[in-house]
Amino acid sequence: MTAHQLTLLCVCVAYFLVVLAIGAAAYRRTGRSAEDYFLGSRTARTVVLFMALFGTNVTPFVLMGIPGLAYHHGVGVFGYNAAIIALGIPVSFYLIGYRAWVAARELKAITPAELYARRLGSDTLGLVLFGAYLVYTLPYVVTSVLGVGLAVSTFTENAVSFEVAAAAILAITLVYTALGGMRATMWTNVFQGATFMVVVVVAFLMVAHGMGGVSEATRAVMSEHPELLSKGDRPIFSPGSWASWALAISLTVIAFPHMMVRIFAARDAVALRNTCRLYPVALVLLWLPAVMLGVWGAAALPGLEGRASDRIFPLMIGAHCGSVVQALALAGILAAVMSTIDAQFLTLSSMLSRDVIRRFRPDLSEAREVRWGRGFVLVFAVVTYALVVARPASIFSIATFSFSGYVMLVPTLYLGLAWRRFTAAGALWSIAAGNVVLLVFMFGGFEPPGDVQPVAWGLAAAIAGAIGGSMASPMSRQGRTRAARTAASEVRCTRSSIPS
Amino acid sequence: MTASAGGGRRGPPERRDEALAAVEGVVDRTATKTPDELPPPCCTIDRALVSPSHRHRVLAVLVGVLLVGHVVQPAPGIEPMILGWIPWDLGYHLLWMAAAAAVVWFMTDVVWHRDELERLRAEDGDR
Repeated sequence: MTAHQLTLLCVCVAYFLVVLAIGAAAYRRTGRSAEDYFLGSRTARTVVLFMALFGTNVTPFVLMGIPGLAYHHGVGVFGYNAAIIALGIPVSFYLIGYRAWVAARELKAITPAELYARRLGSDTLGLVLFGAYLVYTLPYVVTSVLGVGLAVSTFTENAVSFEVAAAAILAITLVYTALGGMRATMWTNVFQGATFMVVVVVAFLMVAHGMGGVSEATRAVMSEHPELLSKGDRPIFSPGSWASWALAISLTVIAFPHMMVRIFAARDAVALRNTCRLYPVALVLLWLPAVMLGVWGAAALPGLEGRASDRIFPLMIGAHCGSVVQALALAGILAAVMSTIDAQFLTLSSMLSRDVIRRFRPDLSEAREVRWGRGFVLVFAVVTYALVVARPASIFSIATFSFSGYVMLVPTLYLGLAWRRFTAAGALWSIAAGNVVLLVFMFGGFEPPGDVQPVAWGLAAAIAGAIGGSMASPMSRQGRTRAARTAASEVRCTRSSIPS
Repeated sequence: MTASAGGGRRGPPERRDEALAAVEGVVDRTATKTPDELPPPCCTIDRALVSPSHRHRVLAVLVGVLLVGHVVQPAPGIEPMILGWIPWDLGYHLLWMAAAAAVVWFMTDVVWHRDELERLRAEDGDR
C-alpha cells in the first residue's frame, strides 16, 4: 500500500469511527416508541434541524454531478440549479412544510403518507403515496451511492473498486441508521454537514491556489473554453427549459419524503424559520465552489466525454492537492452520501412499517414496529446495492428522473393542507395524471410541446387531476369539519387583525 | 403584555393539546411577542402587513418579481468580470440570490411570524 493510499485509509477510518461513535451515543438515547425512533420525539432545534435538512439535501448530485455538468455547460449551471432553490426551498418550507409540521403534530403522524392518509381519510392514498415515494426515492439513493463509488475508485486510483466502496458505505450507514433511528441520523448529519461544507471550501481554495489563483484559473478557461463563462444559447438553458427546470428543482425538495419527515422532527416553528434563513447562505458556500471546480476542470483536464465528467471533482483535487486534502475531500463526499441515504433508508422503512405493515397488522406493538423498521433498512440497503452495481445512467440523468417524479406529488402535498375542498380522489387523480404524462414524455419518445421539460406538463396534469378529481367527488367528513373550523378561525383572525 | 402572561390568559398548558403546548412553549421560552404585544403599525406599509391577505400579497409580488428576474436576465454574457474572476452570468445570479435571501428574511420574520402568532390565537379561540 502506498503512502497516499494509507493516508486516505486513515482519514476515512477516522471519519467512520466518529460517525459510528455519534450513532452509538444516539442509540443509547433512543427509546422504544415509534415516534422516538422515527422522529427523535420531534425535538430538533435550529442547528440540528438545519444541518439535518441541508445534509440530507446535499448529495453527490451536488459534489459530483454538478461539477460534471458545469464541465460541459459552464457557469450557467449555477443559475440553472443553485440560485432558484435559494428561494424555492424556503418558500416551499413555508407553504407546505410549515402546514405539514402543524398537521403532523395534530394528527400524530410520523410519515408523510400517514399524514395525508389521515387528513384526507383514505388508507388507499397512503399506500399510493408510499408507492410513489418508493419508485422515486430508490433511484435517488442510487445516485448517492454511485457518486461515492466513483469518488473512491478515482481517489484510490482503483485500489478500492467501485463495488467494494459502495458496499462499505451502505454497510456503515446501515449500522447506525438501523440502531439509532432519526436521532442518530440527525446527530451524524451535523458532523457530516460540517465536514462536507468545510471540505468543499478548502478544496476550492487549494485548487485555485494550485492553478495560480482564482483569476488565473478563470483566465485559463477564458482562453481555452470562453463559451463556458456564459450561459450562451445552449438548448439546456433555453427560456422554456430554464423555467421548467427551475420549477422542478424548487418544488422537488419539499416533496422528498426524507425532507418532510425531518420537518416533522422540528421542535418548533422558530427552528423551521431559522432553517429557511440559513439556506441561501449555505447554498452559495457549497454550490459556487462546485460549479467553478467543474468549469476550471474543463481547461485543466480537457477531454472528458459524457458521464466521465462526473469524476471531475475528485480529479481536480487529485491534480492540485496533497494526500491529506484528497483524503478529506473523500471524507466529505462520504459525508454527503451518508447524510442523505441514512435519511432515505429511515424514511422508507418508517413508511413501510407504518403505512403498509400496520395496515395489515393493526395490533402491531410499537416495539415490533421499530424492529420491522430496522429490518427494512437492511432490505433497502441490499436492493440499493443491486441497482448501483447495474449503473444504469449518469448521476444527473437519474436525478432528473427522480426530481421530476417528486414534483408530481406537490399538488397533493400543498392542496391536501391548504384547500378544504381537496379530496382523496383528487389526490389519486393528481398523482396518476401527473405520473402518466411525465412518463409518456420522458420515456415514450414524445417531445414535450412548448420548449419545456416533461416535468412542466406533468405538473400541469397533476394540478388538473387534483382540481378535477376533487370537484367530481364529495367532500370528505374530515374536510367538512376542517372547513367549519377554519371558517370560524378566519372570522376571529380577521377581527383581531383589524388595526385600531 | 409578556408572552407568559399571554399564556396565562389563554389557560394552563395542561388543558391544551400537545401541539399547541409545544408551540406555545417556544413562545414562552424565546419571549416571542404575542399579537397583543406587537407594536402598533407605524406607517402605511406596516399597517398593510397586519392584514394576512395584504402581507401574503406583498410576499407573492416579491417572489413573482424574483422569478421574472430569474428567467429574464438582463445583458447576459461574460463581461463585466466581477472581482476579476466571476463572469457576469454567474455574478448576476449571485446578486439574485442576495435579493432572494432578503425576501426569505422578510417571509420568515414578518409574514410567517405573524401567521404563527395568529394561528395560536385562532387555535386558542377554538378552545
